[in-house]
Amino acid sequence: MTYTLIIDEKQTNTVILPATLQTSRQTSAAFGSLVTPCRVISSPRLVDRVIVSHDVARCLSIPFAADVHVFLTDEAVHFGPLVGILTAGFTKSLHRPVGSRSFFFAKLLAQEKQVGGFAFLFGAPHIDWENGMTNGYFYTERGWERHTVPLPNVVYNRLPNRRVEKEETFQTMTKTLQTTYGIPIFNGCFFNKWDIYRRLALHPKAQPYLPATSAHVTQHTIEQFLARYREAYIKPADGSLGRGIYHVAKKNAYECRFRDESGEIQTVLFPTAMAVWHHLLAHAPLHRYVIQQAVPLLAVNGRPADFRVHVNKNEHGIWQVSAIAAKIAGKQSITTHMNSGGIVKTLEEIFPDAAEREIMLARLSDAALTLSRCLDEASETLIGEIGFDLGVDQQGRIWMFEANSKPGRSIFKHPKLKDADERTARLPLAYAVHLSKTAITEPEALWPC
Amino acid sequence: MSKQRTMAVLTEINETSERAAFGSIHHFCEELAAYARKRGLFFYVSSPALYLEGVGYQWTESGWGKRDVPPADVVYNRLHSRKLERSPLFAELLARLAEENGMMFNHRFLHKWEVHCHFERHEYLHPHLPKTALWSGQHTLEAFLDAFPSVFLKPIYGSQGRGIFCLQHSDDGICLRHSTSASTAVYRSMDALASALRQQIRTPMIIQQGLELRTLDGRPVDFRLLCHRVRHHDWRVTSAVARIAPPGQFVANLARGGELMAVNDVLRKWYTRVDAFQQKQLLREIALESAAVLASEAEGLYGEFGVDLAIDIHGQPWIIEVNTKPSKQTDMAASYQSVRPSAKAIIDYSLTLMEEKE
Repeated sequence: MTYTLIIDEKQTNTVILPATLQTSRQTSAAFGSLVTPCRVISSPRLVDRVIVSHDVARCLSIPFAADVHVFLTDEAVHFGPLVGILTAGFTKSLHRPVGSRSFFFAKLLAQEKQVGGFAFLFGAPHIDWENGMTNGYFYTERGWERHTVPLPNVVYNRLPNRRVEKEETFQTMTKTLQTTYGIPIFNGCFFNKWDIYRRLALHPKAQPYLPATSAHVTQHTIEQFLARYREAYIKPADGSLGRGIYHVAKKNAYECRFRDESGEIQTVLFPTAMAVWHHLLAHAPLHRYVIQQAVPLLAVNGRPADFRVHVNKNEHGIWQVSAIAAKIAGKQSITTHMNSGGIVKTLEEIFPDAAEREIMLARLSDAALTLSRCLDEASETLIGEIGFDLGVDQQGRIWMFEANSKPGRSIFKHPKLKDADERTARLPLAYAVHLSKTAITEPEALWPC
Repeated sequence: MSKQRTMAVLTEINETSERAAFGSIHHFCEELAAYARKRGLFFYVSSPALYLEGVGYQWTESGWGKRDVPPADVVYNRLHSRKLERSPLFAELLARLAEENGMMFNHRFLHKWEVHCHFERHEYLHPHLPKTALWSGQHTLEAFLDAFPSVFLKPIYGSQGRGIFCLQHSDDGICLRHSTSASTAVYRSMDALASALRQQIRTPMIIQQGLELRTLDGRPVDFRLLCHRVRHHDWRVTSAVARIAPPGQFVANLARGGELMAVNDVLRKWYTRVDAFQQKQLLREIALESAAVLASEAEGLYGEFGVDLAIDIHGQPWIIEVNTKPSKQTDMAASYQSVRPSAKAIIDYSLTLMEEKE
């Protein structure tokens, strides 16, 4: 539950909690990485409020009064959580702090009211390592505001791309936050397709969902995949948005389809797998590519469709399905990506029959949750959300094509996915509360030796 | 060969034996017709009564000709009368469209209070949303005048800046001004002010926080961004202009004698190049967010909004109002091009609707 934090101008050196909170001789108050000694009092008159005297609030750099969670340890009363959302690409404009992504983050931060606590946006240059403080952008009823606060209880990684993520600055920064300050970071990195496949393939529960995949795109594997599956995709291991994908098929000749620079679909025929491979070698960095079995997809109005299933860890740290949508491929398109003419539909739109829809929903959810747990077990970093691209083949079997750690949000423009849009913005913050609580009250659960 | 794609504009038609006139959008309809033909659409203009009879006006070399027309796949609703949209005739038209599997945008006129309620559900828009309440007499008046240095009263069905009251604290009391009559009066007591307002207010009104807007030569400025829907429920800004209120006026509507300027020119008078760029982007983004929120909240289909924004002295942009039947006078390219971008956008969106259904 959350409490309304009130900053009291009259009292000093005091924190007053409702009697319902079981205090046990705590002698200090904490906010983010800061702790200050103070008197802790219980009052039966408070129900859903906590009172912090102004000097304590100032010492802790609590930026303003808000609804908060209260976590108790043997020594301290923790208010918060203070959740830092890490990104990059800051502008000099306070009204538009991260350029065109400002409204995206405003929507995310606006969910904080539902969840409780303080969430803010920050980047590497905002941290003051000497004083263990950071400056951050808060989104309030008045718009964006900058405040200096302690280091956060948890960090939610929203770095915009792989390139930034690999930069030395961010590598060092996230390492220091985790090892020196014990601050958990979730959604630590973008997934690599091959790495994901390798990890999942070790897991017996995940195996049935995985199309055959190989990280060696050679004349031999092309031949082998086409002999076995007749069609395959050759795609970048850490690509996104369907860029640089080739579709190969064995008909009378070897057919290779792709989008050229101008976005047009090209079909080129080759006499042998060797010729296909030579063509690919000349056009793509194949050492960073994978080849994957193509699955004959369920069709909607004659066009192949696949499904985006969004999963999030919730306020209990448990995986839940937060959104499902179908993506229907554009005419002649090789993928269902929206930038190649794909369109988004809800399950209601493509399965008007309720019984059929419920079965599909249950099976997709089940697959996504199973895969999430497997991925979680196989991963060294904390994962808070995953966007799966799942396919259903013509026999009704479910396949996983891709898992994205920073799934795109373009499906949420669909008006029927409005609730899902808000839910997927709220859940990372709800999970951040859970993670903060764990980090504060049972850190050993988070940092096993 | 599949069925010929068909699109209709629905508006009030003034028919004489000589010719048919489509009011303020007459010329716009010609542009729509020209571009529709280019895109291979069968296009006509009709009214609710004519549509139900299967009759419409088609553009030919010799002008608008009346003829029998097929039902439309997509109808662009440009009825200007709120009354007509609430009439049984209009309900009958909606039923007919549903029966024939036709689509219509914009679904209907959205008044100021419903627009505000839709926005208010979205907390992230709050910093750009002036505090607003439905006018309910003296009580709301006092609350707003206590909280803000100036307050506006606007008719919820109003347009073109008509019938707006501006209330401002002054040394002698509260100064009351009216946008249409340009009258000014000062009231010393809240009771006197409230009773004066009660006598003048005949229609539902909203009461709204007044803003300290940035001005040009002391004249308030607002920005009209015309937004159109494109593929994937995305929105695009088709045209943007700044409108400068006439000297002595507090509204910038063209109908009230406002003056047009390019958005950039206004922003550059206020800001450095870098800040002007950020503000211009921000105006666009707020307009697009507003359009997307309204389209998803309001019932029915929407493909076009005119979003009015203003910037206060602290550089914060505000959503002033959203028009579901935006005037086309601000689409500046008009004099140089035969078909305005907004006409193209309407036709392109209609085609998108048809494609998404196929």
